[in-house]
Amino acid sequence: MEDHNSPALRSGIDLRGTKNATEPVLEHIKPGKKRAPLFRYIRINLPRVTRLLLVALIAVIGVASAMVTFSNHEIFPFATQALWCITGGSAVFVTTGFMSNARIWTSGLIIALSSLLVYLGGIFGKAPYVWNGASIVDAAIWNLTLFAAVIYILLFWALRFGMIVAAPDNQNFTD
Amino acid sequence: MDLGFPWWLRVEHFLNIIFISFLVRSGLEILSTYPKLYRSQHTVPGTSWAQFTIQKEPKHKYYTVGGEYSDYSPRVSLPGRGLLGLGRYWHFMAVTGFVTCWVIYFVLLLVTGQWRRYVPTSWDTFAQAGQDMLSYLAFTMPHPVEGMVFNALQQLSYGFIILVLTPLVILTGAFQSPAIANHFSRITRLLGGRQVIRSTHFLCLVGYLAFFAIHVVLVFLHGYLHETSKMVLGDSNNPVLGGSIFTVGLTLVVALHVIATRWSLSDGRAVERLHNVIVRPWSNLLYKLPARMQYDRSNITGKDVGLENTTQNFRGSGRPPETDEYLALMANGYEDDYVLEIGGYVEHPMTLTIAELRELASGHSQTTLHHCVQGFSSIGRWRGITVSDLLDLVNPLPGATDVIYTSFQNMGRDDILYEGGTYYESTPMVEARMPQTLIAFELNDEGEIPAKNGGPVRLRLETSTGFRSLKWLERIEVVNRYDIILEGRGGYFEDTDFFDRNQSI
Repeated sequence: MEDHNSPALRSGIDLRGTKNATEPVLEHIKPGKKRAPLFRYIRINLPRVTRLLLVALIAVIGVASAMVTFSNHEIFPFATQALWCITGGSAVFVTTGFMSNARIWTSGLIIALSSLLVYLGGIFGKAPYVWNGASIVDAAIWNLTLFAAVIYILLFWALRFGMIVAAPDNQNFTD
Repeated sequence: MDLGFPWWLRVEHFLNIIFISFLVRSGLEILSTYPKLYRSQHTVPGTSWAQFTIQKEPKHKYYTVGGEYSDYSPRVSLPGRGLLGLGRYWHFMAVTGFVTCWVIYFVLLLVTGQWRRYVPTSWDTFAQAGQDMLSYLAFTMPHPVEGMVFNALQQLSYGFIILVLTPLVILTGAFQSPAIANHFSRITRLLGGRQVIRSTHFLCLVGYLAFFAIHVVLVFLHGYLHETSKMVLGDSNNPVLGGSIFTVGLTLVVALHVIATRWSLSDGRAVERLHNVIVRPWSNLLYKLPARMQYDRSNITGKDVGLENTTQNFRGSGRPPETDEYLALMANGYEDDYVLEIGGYVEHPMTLTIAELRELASGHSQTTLHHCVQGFSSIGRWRGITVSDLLDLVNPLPGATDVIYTSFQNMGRDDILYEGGTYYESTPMVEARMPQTLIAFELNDEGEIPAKNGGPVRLRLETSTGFRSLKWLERIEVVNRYDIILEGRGGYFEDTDFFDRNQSI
């Protein structure tokens, strides 16, 4: 009878004996404060879209890195090898991302950080910028690795912070 | 033609900064009172796709929507602190200015030929926009097309914002009005229903914020003084002067927000008076739109979108009366004991039991969507008799203008969230006579209306936000003026909070 009357218990949430059983609870408010940090107020529950977005970003990094190697710019010693490693890692990541439900986001972070590292190396080397003699297209593809990596890192932070979730997880909203 | 930056375009640009920033902040205030967004027209707990709150509701106890307010800071929302009524006032005042501004702007674009600055006249524009995007990605600045003031990517993005996103945000805003949504029912269905419209309206906000962020970055990349000078003077011949004036203007906008926030928190009634002057002239026109929405059974159950238990979850948005009189009525099943009084300024005052109401209603029902002022919605089939039919029975005397509905509920006694006395509402005669203004005594297949939903008898006002559909109805009185009752604003929340009696928006 009890299970029948409580939607929370029916869905396996048992907070009997806690404050939240009978009262609303405010989370993330630090002592002496009235409100939580701004980003704590944002919780998006679009797990499949988020998974797709994260995988797509790594795919962009991988494809863009491969295209940079084809532009025949000697960015810095062993940059081509590094870019191919990123492309290879991205291919494995994207395949795993699409073919399984594995939580691979830390691996994606390693790829994004590697890409960012190569980009920073390029700033001190001879990256395919327009002012280094590269075409507009080559420069755009090179910078795309920066934007995709930065966006992935931001989304990874949001994921860890709890603002977003990626499949197979979800926010488990009950309210 | 020389497109340039005509004076009216520059004025509109500055006014938009004011209106949109007020709309965003007051919109967040409205969102804060029901900070959950859904993908279907149902608001079943646990099915939202986004939440903007840190509050977790009680897991094993009934809670009302009134407790779901989130306390946003006045630095973020206008005015902050969960003051929904004042947030709505600011939103509707800003909407009045924004929509007027947009309509005038749209007409001027058409009349002067300036529409060419936003509408591509050749397919080449799209290819060029792709080239411009590559240029930006390559950290180079693309150049405007011959004879244009923008490059192709700017032309398409500004065109999208002004000619696509703005009409969409206006449309989805308008269709959150119960009067509009329930009158133009086909468009409501086409847009996906109440919660989809609400989610789309929110995504428009995200679109504006994303555009604003990119727009500001590009203004700085193109040169702040150079670009803002064009916004103020129409050219960049005197960038220091133009940039300085624009900066002063932005400071003025910030000052306006500070003043509006502090003023609202210190003297809400003054904001209400300003709202009544600006908004009521057009919101009163919505009384001409009677509700005519009828949902079908699959909408009640939620099977239309693969949900379960939506019928059980017709939200309760108040706490039932805690009096011996009401509890005795409930214990006896209402049928023999409950009597609805209808009197006041009428020729034939009368009392009706539920059996008599049922007989008079002769099977009449309406399946409608509840538009909570905070944001939740529930669909229910209500059996009952229209207020118009009841009024025909009692025959109001000449000069009768309003109908007063009084509840068994006493807010200060029954609900810990509120103070004050008896819950009451009033409708002008035009609203009382609308075809879906109903005195209901049955909900869905559950038979009698559950206590949390206002049993045994309640009012349904389908052209109004939910709190005016008074629950636990005790008596009805026809009057020739409502402004001498209690605080004179026409209802409990109108008297004690900041809500207009006209809740058709």
